[in-house]
Amino acid sequence: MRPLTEEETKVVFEKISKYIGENIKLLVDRPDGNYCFRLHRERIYYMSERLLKLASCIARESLLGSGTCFGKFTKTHKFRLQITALDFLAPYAKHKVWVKPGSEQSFLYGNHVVKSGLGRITENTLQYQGVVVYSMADLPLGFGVAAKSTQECRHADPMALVVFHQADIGEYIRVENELI
Amino acid sequence: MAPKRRGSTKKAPTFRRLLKTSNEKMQNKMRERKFRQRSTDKRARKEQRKLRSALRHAPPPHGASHTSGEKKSDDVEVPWDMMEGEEENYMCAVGQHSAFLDHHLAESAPPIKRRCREENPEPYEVVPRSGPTKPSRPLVHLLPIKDAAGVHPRVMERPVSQEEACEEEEAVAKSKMGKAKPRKQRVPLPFAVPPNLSETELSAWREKILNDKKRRIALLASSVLAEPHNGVQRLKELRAMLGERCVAVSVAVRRFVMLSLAELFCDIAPSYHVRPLTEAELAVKVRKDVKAIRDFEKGLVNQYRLYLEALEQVIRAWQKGTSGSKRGVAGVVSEALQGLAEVAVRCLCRLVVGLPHFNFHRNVLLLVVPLMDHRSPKIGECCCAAISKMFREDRRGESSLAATRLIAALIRKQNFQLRPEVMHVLLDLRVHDVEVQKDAGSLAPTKKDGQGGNLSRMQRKRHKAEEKLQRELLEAEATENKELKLRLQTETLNVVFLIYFRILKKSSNRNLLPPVLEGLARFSHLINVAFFDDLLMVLNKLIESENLKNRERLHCIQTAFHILSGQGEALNIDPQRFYKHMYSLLFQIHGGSSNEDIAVVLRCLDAMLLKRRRQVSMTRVLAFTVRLGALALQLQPNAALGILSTLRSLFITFSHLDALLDGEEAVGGVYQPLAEDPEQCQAQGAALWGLIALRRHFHPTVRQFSGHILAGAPTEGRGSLPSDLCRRSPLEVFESFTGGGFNPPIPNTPTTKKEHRKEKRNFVQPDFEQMLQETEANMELKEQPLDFYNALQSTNCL
Repeated sequence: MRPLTEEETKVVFEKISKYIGENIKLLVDRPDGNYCFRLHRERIYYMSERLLKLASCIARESLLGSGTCFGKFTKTHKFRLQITALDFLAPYAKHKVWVKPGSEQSFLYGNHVVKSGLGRITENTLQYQGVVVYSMADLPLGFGVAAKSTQECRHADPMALVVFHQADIGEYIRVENELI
Repeated sequence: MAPKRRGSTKKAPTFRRLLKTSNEKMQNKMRERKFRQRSTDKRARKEQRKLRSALRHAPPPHGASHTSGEKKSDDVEVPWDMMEGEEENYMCAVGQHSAFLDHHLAESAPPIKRRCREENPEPYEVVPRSGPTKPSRPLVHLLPIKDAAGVHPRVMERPVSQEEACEEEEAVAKSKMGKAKPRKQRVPLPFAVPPNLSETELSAWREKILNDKKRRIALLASSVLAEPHNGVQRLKELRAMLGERCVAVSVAVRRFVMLSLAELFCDIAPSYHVRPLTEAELAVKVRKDVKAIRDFEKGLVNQYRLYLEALEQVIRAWQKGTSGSKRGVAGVVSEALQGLAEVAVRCLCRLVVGLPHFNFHRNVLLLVVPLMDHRSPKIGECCCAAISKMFREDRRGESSLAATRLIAALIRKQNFQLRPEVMHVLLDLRVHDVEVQKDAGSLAPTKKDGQGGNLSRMQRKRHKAEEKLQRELLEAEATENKELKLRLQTETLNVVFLIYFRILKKSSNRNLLPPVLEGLARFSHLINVAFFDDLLMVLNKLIESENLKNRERLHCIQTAFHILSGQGEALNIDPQRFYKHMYSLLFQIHGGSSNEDIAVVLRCLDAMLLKRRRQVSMTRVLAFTVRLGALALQLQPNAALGILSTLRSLFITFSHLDALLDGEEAVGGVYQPLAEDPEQCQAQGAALWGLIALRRHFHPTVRQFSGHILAGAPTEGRGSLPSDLCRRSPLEVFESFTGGGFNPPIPNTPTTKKEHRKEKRNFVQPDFEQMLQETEANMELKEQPLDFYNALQSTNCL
């Protein structure tokens, strides 16, 4: 359990701010205490300072994790965001995409979103912008990257991809052994 | 000789074709012949003139030899060389006396009378003309005298009395003034103010002239109305009275003439556009009645044009500020020019409204539209009202388009510094349908023929003939062509939107915003979907710009949602920024009683949350609900009731809002009341504690409402609202309680007699008590409530 270095912080914040923009400061200083990021076994954990103190009591080898895992660093030190971060990032999402009920299932199985399954999209979404995917009932389903900007979405043909899949809540069932 | 054949010959040459000459050749031949004829005539006339002059001055017979020396083609040329000696002598002798020649010439027919001057006029022709020889007094024909020689008619001048003499002079002068060009050789009496008249006499004289004029105008006008087709002459005379010269009555007369002419033209003008006749049509012989109609139309158009020019002159002269100059309006002083110009403007407005189908409508528009923005509010209002009326009554769309273009040009010229009334005029445009254009690709003209361009020659020809037939049929149909109207309306709407966008993007004049936004909201269902993004971006930028009042921001938001609710429903975009702006604006509305923003707020909320219930996310609704609950505490009872009514509707629409009424802690974090974004404030952890406080409000209806909502807004049973409050929309509730009263009014409790205990005041200074008593006696305590606003306004402090 160690705090993040400069470059690691930069990488992590960059990735997170792709989805929530400048609201990342709301993650760090919250009214109910200070929260921080810690690295443990190549995974980034997000916890309150109170929890941090408690976790430091446990030995490093026997500690599995504490707080919430946001994602992990790959071998080449790239940061990959995991679905477990959804609860924290969803309220602060800048750009949202709503998916029609018919193609919810498809997204939850890990497929990309096609234009015919697109319900709504926030205005002025740029291309390759990080988005949070919602169902029509406003339930956050996962993360994605916009394949087309809002303008282009209107003129795309129905089988074109509009959102690339990054993470979805179906992963809790499909790949639960990889999440911690 | 056979005419030259061009190209390859397809037909076999026949005799007839050989003889036939082409059209051009025939025309050339005719022209040459005419010229030749003319030149020979000219020469003949010249010759004859010379001879006559020679004869007149009695030249010696030898002189004839001079004249005959010129060669004339008609003369028989004496072949001198062929004659022999004797004959030659005889001929010479005869030639000296060529009296027969001269005699012949003198008796020949006189030359063609020429209008231009001759070289040597007769003496009687040089005598100057005397004055008009008509008798100044009418003649009386007496009985003729019959005597041996014959019958002699007698004539005598009528002896006149003094009054008749005056009247006659006036009649003469009046007939003189009735003509367009007053003669300058004498100064007739009424032009100059008669001297040595007292005030009353002067006004009486002026009255008299004015009445005469009025009668004349009325006479002419009614005669023209009765028989328009023969009335062109009278119309001309009436129009000529616009150039009234008499100083005393010129302004009044011109005013009357302008107004009556305007009405007259509106009545007698035909309901079609009179076009100038082509050469071919003029050459054709027509029936008498057709000719009469044609003449009438021509005369009418001419007079109308002159009338419009006169009006234009008046207005230009007034705008330039000159008067009485040569090019200006002669005979009118500059102070009266203002009144005259106003009347001219009024006439133009009448014409704009009354004659939209007739000629020169565009010219009239060109005059009226720039005056819409005039400094003087009367003229501006008049023009704006006229243009509005024209828009409302326009069925064809053409004049609307022209006027809209002119308004756009005016806005550009004035650089957006106009009065907002000009924009209000655009709201009256009747534009209902627009050509729906799917996207820019379909704007390219589509091919009409099925085969796609590879038609054979015969098919192409047939196609062309069909189109021509269609066009002719269309002409004969004479109904308003739907396609044309659609196209015109689309064009008009494009111009209107261009104006709006330009104002939104570039203008710094905030006064123009409300009518622009209203116009956008009104025409929003016609905007092309492609413009939506631009529009929303511009609106967003506008809201974010600093120098905008809250009311205008609310209007922008309302417009944006109005636009999105029309065609924009097909778009699946989520106007997140507008929600954010609205959320932050809610707390900036001040709670004073003079605040009218609440009505707009209620409308916006209705459009944002209730109408878009399927498209708005839960977090947003929660956030707005919590904020509205807090807002209701700050406002006056009428506004609070509006907000509570909205809350009630929200609770009924969204069932998951019940969580806000629970006191239990919800998952998801702490509520951030001051967060800017509704998505991020974690409102699911909040509770509507404000309603509890409102349960103890002084207003009974507020108490009722808050109790109802706290019970979960049930529709019946315990805690439900009475039916009259139930059914009203939030805006109605707000409006019914505005005005400060209680509704239903609270019954007056009988006032308990309160005994007035006069307090014993013990002051150190004895005279202070006295001063107090004096002021109390003098002060008038009114029973009405103190209205600071009005009082301050009356003293011009506000």
